Amino acid sequence: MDRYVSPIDERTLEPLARAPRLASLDGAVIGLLDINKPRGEQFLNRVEELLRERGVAEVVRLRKPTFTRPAPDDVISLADRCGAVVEALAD
Amino acid sequence: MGTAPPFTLTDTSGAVHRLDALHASGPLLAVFAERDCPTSAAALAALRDTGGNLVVVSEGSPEAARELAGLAGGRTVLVERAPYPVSAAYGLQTVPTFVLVSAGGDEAERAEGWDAEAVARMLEAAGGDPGRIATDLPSLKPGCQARNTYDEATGLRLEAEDRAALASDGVDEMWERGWHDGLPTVPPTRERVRAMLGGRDPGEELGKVPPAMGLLTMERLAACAVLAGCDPSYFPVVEAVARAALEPAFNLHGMQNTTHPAAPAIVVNGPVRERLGMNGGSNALGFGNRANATIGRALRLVMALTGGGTPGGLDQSTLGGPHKWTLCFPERQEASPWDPLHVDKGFAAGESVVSLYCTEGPAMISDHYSQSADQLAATLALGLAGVWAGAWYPLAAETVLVLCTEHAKTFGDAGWSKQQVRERLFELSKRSVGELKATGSGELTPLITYAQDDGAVVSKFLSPEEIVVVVAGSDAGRFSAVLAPWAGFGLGSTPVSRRVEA
Repeated sequence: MDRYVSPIDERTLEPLARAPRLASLDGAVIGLLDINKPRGEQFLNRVEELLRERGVAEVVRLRKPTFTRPAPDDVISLADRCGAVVEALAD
Repeated sequence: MGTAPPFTLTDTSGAVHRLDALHASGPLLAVFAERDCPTSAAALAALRDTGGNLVVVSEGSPEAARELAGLAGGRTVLVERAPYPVSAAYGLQTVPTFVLVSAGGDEAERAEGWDAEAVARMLEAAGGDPGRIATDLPSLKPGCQARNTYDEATGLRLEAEDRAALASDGVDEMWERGWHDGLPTVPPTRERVRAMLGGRDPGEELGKVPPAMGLLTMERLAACAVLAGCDPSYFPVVEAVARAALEPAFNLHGMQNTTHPAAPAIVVNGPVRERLGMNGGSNALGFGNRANATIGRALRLVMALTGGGTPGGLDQSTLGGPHKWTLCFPERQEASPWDPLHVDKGFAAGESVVSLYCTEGPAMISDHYSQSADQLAATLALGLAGVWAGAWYPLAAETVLVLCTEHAKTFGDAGWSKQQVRERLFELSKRSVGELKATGSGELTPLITYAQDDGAVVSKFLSPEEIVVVVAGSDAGRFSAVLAPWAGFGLGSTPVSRRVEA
């Protein structure tokens, strides 16, 4: 038995699995998450243009109510239908 | 040879041993040894599995004796403290010294240092198996000078040194485990954590600590309090602080992640301040008081270790600040002309309360020469107007103004209420939109300020009540301080106050 009491919840040390990468953008549904920082929209508008040029079937625009807090459940559930999500930190 | 001098010594677990009892059932091999002597250590390791009626007498501190007990396997190790009267009675010159005591209590043989042949002979007489002596030692190896031959002061110093050396072991391990905040921590041994818990249920869950979402149990909180250096008497305050910090309104998640230097600032009110000897006087916001420093630090360690907020990892603060180690102070209620903060918030004066704000580090505002409350208010308003960025209007979040006692007295003597102070600061911090735009600063609150006409006038605050006034500091000096908030308009953190349960 360890002679010390750990301040750490060991479960938080396990690395999270990365989402599977997309093999191709062709016909993909891509989410663009604006975390609601100034000028994030400008960045994502350009990303949307580039994605459409590359054959993406649908772009889902998502927006957090504020950058200071985690995304609420309704935003996360919208992201569930996307093959991949691009998040704009901005400023 | 003659009679072996009788002695009574305690072993490393505190049990008392008398020499006559040790040789009552047959010859005894007594090994005088010392932890810092390599020959002693090698000899005890060599005799680990030989069996026989063997006892070790350790010259030095109990900690040193315990280390020898580790080398000697299950052997009894007796603790011989400075000035080493038993060693002196045996006329000891060297460690290790092997003394064979017959069943009748006489000294039958003695060897100094490591003498393989003599040790084997004596061990056999004491019922051990010389064939099981495991050693790479040569047949003869000299020992070290016995501690009883030093003067008493040297003996005491040597004991103090080996205690200190052993006590530091756990500290080094804290660095290796990453259980620190950049300063040394106190190892959270099970005994210390149990003392910190003071009978509380170690498994009680207080909630998950963002952003890593580690579960904070009462036991983990106690571990953080131990690491921080808290005395167990602080733990009720630490618990109240942790529960307040975990309220969703306080938004620990964003506070941990943000590039802003935001950190919890803790104001303590009520009788617990005196009970714990907290410092609301000179250096109230600074260093030197254990309760101030370690209560705030315990929350930081919860955030960094249980919550995973490590610099450049899940804590992305651009510059951070020294307040991120700890910023916890009691209001100096006795030097205030007004009701204390917790009474303003609706608590009873006799209750002890912690109030948490999410702030930057303290920014000083000096005013030594104002003769009137009006002049002082003007100085303070200029200081308040400059926080975040001079053109950032309004803050739209509660902002803590720590008034030094002389500034508070100036207002009190003029008959100003706390509310009057707030209202005046609210008015005096107003600027025209045109003036703010003229700074050329891009750092303007865009929608509600920048979009207005140049002639419109805006205050640094949405209301006078956004200015939170508390009193602290020594009797002398006219330095107040502002603790600027994190993001405003309800986006950042909402202050939380919580009663301390005794």
